[in-house]
Amino acid sequence: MIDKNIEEYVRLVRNITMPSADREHIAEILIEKAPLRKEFSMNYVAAASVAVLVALSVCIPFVRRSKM
Amino acid sequence: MMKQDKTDQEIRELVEVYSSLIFRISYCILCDRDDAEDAVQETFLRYLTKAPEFNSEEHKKAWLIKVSANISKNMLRMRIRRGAINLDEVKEIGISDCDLDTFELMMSLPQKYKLVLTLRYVENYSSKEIAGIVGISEEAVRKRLQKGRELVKKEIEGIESF
Repeated sequence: MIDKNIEEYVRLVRNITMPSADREHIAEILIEKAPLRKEFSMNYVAAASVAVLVALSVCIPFVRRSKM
Repeated sequence: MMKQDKTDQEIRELVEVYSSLIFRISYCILCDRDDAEDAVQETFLRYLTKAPEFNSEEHKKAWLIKVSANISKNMLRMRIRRGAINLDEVKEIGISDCDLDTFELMMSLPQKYKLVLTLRYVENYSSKEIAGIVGISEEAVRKRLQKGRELVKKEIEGIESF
């Protein structure tokens, strides 16, 4: 059984709600950030792939020459 | 990278369903509206980028509570200023004028007790579940609940004796 003091605590804490304007604001921020992050990560992957290809194309001839 | 591609509608529903729960947990730890909102936003961002696969809605809810509590505790550690509760902002988050004094005293309790009391009595989690969420033993949860109940009783009796 919950004593009346805890009932008072529960009542007060249950009353805490996030104002609807703030909820909407956060939803907007999340919607805005989500595609940006995705775009950034895709760009990052593409850039990293190109960098690896360039590095390999530069290094491989040197490695071959040094083995000869 | 986004783990799951959420549509705008799914993000809005996620915020609608869980924002007050996360805000409540964060506010109990931080006692500041702006900081609690930052914690809510950070929790959702982490959900969108790093959430694991969930077995159920309950699993997802527990994960969100755990992440928001950790984010809020980290914010609390990094915060230099620890001012009093702003009574004007408290009214904006659902506390009525006649409850202001009691609310202020309740929020002045140490966050570790408020967190377990909130999870046990407001969110109805068992001691075992709370142990998993907070990352302490069941025995420690029971001790914190006991001490938390004593502190709440002391504060409320203090108000009534005036």
